[in-house]
Amino acid sequence: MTTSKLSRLLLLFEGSSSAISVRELARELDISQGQVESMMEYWISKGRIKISTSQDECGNCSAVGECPFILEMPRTYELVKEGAEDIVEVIQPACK
Amino acid sequence: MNKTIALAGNPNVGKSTLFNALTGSHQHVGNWPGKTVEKKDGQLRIGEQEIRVVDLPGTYSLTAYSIEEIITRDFIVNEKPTAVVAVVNAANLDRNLYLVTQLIELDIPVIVALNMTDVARRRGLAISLKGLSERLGGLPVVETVGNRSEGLEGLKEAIELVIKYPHTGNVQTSFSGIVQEEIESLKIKIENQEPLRELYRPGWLATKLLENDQDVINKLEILEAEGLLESARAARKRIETQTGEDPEILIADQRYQFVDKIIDSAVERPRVTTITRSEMVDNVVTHKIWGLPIFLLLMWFVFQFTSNVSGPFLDWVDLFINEFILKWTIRNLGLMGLGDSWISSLITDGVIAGVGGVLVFVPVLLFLYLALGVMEDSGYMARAAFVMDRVMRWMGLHGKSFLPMIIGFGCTVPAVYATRTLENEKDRKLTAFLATFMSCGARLPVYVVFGAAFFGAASGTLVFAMYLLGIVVALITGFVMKNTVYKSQPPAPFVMELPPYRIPRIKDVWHQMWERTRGFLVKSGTVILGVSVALWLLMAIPAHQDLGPFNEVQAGDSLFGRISGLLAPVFKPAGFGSWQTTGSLMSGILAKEVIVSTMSQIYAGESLPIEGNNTTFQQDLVSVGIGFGRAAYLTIQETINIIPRTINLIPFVDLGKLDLLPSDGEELDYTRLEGSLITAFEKTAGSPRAGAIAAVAFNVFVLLYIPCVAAVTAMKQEFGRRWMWAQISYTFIIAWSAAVLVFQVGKLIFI
Repeated sequence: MTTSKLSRLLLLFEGSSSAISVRELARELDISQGQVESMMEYWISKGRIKISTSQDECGNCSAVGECPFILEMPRTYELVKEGAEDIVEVIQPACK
Repeated sequence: MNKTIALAGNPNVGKSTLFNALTGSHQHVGNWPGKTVEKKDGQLRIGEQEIRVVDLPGTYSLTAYSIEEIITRDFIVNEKPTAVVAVVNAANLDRNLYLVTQLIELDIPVIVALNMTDVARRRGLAISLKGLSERLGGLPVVETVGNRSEGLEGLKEAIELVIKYPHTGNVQTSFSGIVQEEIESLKIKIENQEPLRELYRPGWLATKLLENDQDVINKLEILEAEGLLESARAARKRIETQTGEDPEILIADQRYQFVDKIIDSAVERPRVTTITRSEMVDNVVTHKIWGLPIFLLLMWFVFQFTSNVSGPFLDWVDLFINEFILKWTIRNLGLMGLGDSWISSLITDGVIAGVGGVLVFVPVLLFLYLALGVMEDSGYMARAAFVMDRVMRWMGLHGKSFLPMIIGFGCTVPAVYATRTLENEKDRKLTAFLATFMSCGARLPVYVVFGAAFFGAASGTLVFAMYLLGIVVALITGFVMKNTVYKSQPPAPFVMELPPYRIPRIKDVWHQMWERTRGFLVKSGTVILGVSVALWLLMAIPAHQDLGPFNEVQAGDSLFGRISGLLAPVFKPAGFGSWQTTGSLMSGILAKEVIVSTMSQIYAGESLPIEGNNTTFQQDLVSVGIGFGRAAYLTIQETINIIPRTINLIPFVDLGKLDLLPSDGEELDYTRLEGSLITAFEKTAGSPRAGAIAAVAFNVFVLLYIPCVAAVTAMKQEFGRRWMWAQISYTFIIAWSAAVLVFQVGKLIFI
């Protein structure tokens, strides 16, 4: 029996068959988008979800840090696969 | 007694700005002991009193999962500051109050600094300070705007008051039901244990034990509080049995409910119908059925816009380079006595024809990046990635794979590196592989020159068709590979924060447009210049000494012409089996822009010399200026006409169009290169219609064939030599097959 919205948020995420927006999740749980983001932070700290920004690394590209082609995409949240090694790392969201 | 005030809050709520405003220059910056996290310490003077102010690291909660959280809570628990100023973003209270609830649980005096109230007001939020304070058990709540130093006096007064009369807030925070019962029960046990009672606030410690906080448990084990730990384990078990939930989740959830209640009673949101404007637009553009066609229509419009609106300036730059610059360079070289020398040939047939041939397309790129910049800055591009997730997923790829592909529209190299955002190595390799099919900006000049030469006003449709074909080939390749060699689990979903739409900011769009075009200009002055000089040399050297002296040999008999001619039969089934096209494709492997510059060099040598006229330099300069004005005027006309012009491409539809200037038969006003290409392709393919089909086949080949050297190198660095060669082979085969298919099927249908 799972009743908490916090658990339902994770279940909705895990059970989704395609990308979902924060707005859709908020509507589904009848809470504000700010609260969805706050709950996401909880699951991030628990290592179940992680934040992904548009591009973190540019390898050996000489234009690193200056490349005009990098897109500023909004933050996306992803499920962390069980057993993944990087799950304990908390990723700070982008300033934008 | 020294007084200490700690500033706590979520990241990016203006905490440090407030800290600076409170302490001014009286601050010390260092690191937290044994940590790499910055520690800021300062002094605040209120009346005669010196108060120490500590800026704690930004954190969302006080659990023990991150270094920032541990530093913050250890400081509060161990150093017991006189009070904590909880800095919250008034515009995002839902998210910020979660930390405040945990500060309250620590049972210390808390002052809530409601920062960024100006932003909250702009968003139409009305926050009742009295209501918020009441809900938080009478804690002082002060409005501040840190970056304008507003509300500082109020905050200082609140700090002074709390120092005089410490008040911890009389609030039953978040908990209820069995959670509250177990907390109370553990609290009593803690209060009865001498060292623990002194070290920790009993309520907070009880909550942490129920949350199974490992940091706290480790500390209690050192203190040999085994009895308490056993009681906590039993309490957790009881909660779990009764509710079916992990107590930690239940506690967090009850905090969220508490925050929800505070917001409900203390915050008045703008009166909106149930749906905002952004949501209304999103309901259409991210729709499961309409989302994709809308995305495709928008892209079609972008390429129509790019091709047509840039036309007048493209013609102007072409005239400027190939007539004004070329004419006066030839004339000056003649005056210097170098008229027929190899130096003259190098400058005119090498540098000007090569680099100039590419620079002609700067207006096209500027307008493409303008259109894409508007899409990005308005917030639509994020929706495009969201919409494409369904398509990607259908093909068995992760939705995030579309991001490198969008980047690939600009340049393949960052697209290859952008695959690093994907976790799965197989997905990374496959996505990088597919991203090379996305048509980069460097290939655009090829489509534009062929579109203008063979399709006139519908040239944007050719450009769009090429971009679309790239996506389709990538998706088909992905689908096939995901269902054969790269079989794996279905991709995991993701949640995306879709930002509200906004009017694109001119400064941001200009920045993107200019920076991206600047890269092209830099390449023109470096890579393309070098390749142009090398190609000129290869075209000046005869393949055999009997064919003529250096720089006087026919281009087809040059080293470059003969080598290209050897490979030309490979492309005969695709309709463009001449040494000129083959040579351009070969040099295009160095950089795709070079395809056009090579053609420009080849056909510059073959086309008729510029007719001499007796106009003076000043007269020509005036003509250039007038031409610029005319181009600007026609650009406005084209911008006005772009929608009717695009709609008119639909059969049987004619909306007419506005003509501010007489058209002058502009549709037939080809550049030198376009004219040469029409003649050459018609000759190779056998007829005007076959020439047009061969031109499409050539564009298809350019779209799909081997990526440039930089992209191939990036592939090798990221995935190794084998993968690089696999990609080179695959792209060549798929490009050749597609080009042959287009030409042969096209001939069957249209001839």
